[in-house]
Amino acid sequence: MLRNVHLLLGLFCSCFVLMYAFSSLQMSHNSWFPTKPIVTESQLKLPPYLDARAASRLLMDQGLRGEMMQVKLSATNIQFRIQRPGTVYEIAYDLQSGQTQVKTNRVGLVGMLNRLHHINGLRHDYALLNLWSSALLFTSLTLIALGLTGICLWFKFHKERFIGGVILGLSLIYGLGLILLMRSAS
Amino acid sequence: MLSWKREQSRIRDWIRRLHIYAGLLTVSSLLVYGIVGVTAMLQDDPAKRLRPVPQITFQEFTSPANLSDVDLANLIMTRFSIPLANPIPDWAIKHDKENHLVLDYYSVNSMTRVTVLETERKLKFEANRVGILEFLNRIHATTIRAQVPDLRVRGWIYYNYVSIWFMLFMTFSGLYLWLTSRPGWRWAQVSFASGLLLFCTLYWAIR
Repeated sequence: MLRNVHLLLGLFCSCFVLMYAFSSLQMSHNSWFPTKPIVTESQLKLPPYLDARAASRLLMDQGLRGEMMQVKLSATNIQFRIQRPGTVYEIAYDLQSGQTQVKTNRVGLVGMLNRLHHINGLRHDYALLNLWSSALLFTSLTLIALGLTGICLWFKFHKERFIGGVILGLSLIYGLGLILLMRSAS
Repeated sequence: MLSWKREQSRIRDWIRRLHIYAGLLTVSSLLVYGIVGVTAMLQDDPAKRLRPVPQITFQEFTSPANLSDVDLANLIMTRFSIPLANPIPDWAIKHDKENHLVLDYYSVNSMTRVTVLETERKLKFEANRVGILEFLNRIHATTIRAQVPDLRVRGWIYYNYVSIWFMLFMTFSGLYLWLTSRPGWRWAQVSFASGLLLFCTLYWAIR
């Protein structure tokens, strides 16, 4: 039963775990995996004197998908972003004329994995992000379950009990020990 | 044929052993990653979270003459033993409205802001200790690129780094062990295929 749980959870979440692992490597070695975005610019015309939310809704209707963020208001224009993992639209909307400059920053696969790694929260306006968060929540619970079921499965392996016990003991002393030492530093 | 099967069985036993050892060796970080992931998904929007009240203290200090801001920051860090602090890069050094030098020392446990009050010959320390969940988040995110002198943090950084590689190994070795033991098990096939389909669909949809 435990073995089946370990196997099924591991298989289901393998792609998500690989996403976390590769993106972690990218963050540790960002010179190995450049994540420079491709930048394009375009212009759109919106009705004048809209507020940020109305302007962003119109832009989203025109295909700019994501969540609105980082709104900056001035007397003559509104600047904000519409973003989703991997794509950021930087918007500059002129209040008087409705002229809207859209600067699109889009990253490749490696950049995407980096942004997916950083998804958090379950209450986004953009529903797709909530789906991602739910999948990643399940993956995080799976990591804990894999660790715990893995320990139980190891223990059932009589041949590996001694060496495994030494490895587990040393790793817990080292890992948990460092956590305690760091946390208690003052 | 028989010797090839025997050889395959031997290789499989070794990979299973290494899969087990890798898991046992990195179980602390696996649990940290899992807890951090769950917290990240369930936590409030950062803007709505309660900020702790900083602990404010003052220390006597006279800035040595002719010292650059970066060198002064490093001197303060070592003289006052700001725990686990990262050295501050020059681009992060700032001044407040009264032109006092403001130094933000980030560590996995806290954020300590030091304001250099030169005319009063004092340093103002504002220490904000983070909660345990934020601490776990910070240690999980501390990569090998971090220039942290503290040995405790460096020790964790290397362990964290090894855990990432072991996580990759465990995923691939886990797939190998499945394919060489129970490839025909329908539940396993469904589980793998549905996870892969979910990932690809979500990726394509958000792309």
